[in-house]
Amino acid sequence: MKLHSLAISGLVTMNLHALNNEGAEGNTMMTRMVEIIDEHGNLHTVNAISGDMFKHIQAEHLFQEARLAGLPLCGGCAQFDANRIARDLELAQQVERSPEYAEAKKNGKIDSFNLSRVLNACVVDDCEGILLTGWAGSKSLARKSCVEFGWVVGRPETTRTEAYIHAKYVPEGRGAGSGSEQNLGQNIFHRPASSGQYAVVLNVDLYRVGRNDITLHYDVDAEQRAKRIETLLKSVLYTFVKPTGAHRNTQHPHIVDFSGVVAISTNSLPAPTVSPLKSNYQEEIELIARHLNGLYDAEYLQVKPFTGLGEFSGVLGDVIKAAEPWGE
Amino acid sequence: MTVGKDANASWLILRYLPTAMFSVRMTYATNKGGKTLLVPTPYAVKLALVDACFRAFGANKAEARAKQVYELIKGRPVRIGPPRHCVVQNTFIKIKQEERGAPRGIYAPTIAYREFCYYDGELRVALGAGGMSDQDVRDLTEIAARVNYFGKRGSFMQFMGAKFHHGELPRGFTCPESEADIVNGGYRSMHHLDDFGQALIQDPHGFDRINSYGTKPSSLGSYRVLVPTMLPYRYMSSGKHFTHYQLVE
Repeated sequence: MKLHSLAISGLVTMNLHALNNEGAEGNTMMTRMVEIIDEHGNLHTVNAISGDMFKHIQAEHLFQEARLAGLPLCGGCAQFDANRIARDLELAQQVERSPEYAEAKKNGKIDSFNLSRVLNACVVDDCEGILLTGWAGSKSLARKSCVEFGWVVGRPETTRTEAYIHAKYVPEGRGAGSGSEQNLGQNIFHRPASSGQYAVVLNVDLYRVGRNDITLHYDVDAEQRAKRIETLLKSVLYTFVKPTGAHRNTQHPHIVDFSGVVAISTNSLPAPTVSPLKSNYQEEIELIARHLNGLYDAEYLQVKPFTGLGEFSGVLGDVIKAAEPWGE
Repeated sequence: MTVGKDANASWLILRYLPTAMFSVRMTYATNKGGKTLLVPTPYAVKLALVDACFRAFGANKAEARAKQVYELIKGRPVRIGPPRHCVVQNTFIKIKQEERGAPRGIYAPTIAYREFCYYDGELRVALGAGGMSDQDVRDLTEIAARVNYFGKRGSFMQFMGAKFHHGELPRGFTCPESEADIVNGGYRSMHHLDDFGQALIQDPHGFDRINSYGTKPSSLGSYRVLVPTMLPYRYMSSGKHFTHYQLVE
């Protein structure tokens, strides 16, 4: 099954997490709160986790999986450095010294040539995107990410945030306090913990894996693309099985449920999404898929509901087994 | 094709359901202080439609179809019918930024101010459709169905359908200040939204100027212009973290 895109809209239930924080005021850590409107027009303040955090979690799983699968990683990504291939100056020099580079430079096609080398060199740069400035003679070369996350927002009626007091215990000299720069004394601090149902929306443009954004041709062969797609989808699955992120040393989230919809598209129509903050989001997605399929009299969009992490892993597992690289 | 006044006589209205928080930074926003506009700009809408051609068609057709769409829409007015509610979130996020004196291309983590709009309701995009053939309307509708975000990536929008509207748009849509009935139009706020400038519309190589990988510049003030635009949003309330706007209908 040649997949163009895949989208997930779902509600993940997480308890007692502190995955995303905005900063600290004194000894109190502030969690990230957003204001949203419910279906009746009422304003609510709820806890939210930015899409950046979930993308970071997914990227880490992709990195681990890519190593296991023996997929190529650039010098930066091999160390999970956020600068990715921009850090790999050795490769940049190799590229610049190659005769193909001289030919591309003569034809004014350095950017498409460099992008091709980037795609071949690293699965993380391919799937997660990168902005290169000054790498191998490219002034500004952008590779858009193939995977996109929206904000993960708590449902107001079922999400709560509280702050709890913790103490750093120092058995000797406990009266000294922690006012000094070294922070060696005993102190108390406040840390938030949030529990609730969080709305997740994400999209994976599978057709872009291995595709050069400038020439629009696939610069990575079909066998390698199939492996990359499998690894990318596994990383998305693992994002919900094991979310990494902040404060997991003492506040690893209790994930008790994940229910929603996996939508897949075998056409250039994007796999549909609706925010799970809307109570009837599953019906809406099914209706949208039915209407859009009706435009073409074909079943280009498929909607696969799931209830629970077990079913989710089964649904995504089936998609992973069936997915083939996109081709025109 | 440049469109005259008759383009305002009929509109193709595209309906989208926002499915994640929306953000598009104001033109003059800095890297550290990224205030958002309350609605997508005509420029962002036109580029999203051109970009969708690269999703809709294969390598052999995509650029030619993108150029056709660009020629069809470049001079047409775009008005936005924003959702019922918009709550702007004020927040700080982690970004990567080039450090002064560091080697080029190496980014270090820092924090920056960013705003995101939480919408409740449908977002409508009205595209001036005067003189469009039925085939043009069908083609544009198919392409609009391939758009899944406006502005910043992750600002997901789900295409819900399209309809044709004859005559003036009802209240609830944006309007350039120069054409707006400011007293009776139901406008309560104003933004400078960017759009294609006349220099871009008339340039035979205009497509190269909007192409991210093109070599021609698209400078602000001539090829990309800021249009003072009235918005049908009324300020409702605000707090440390948010500002709430509601649609005036």
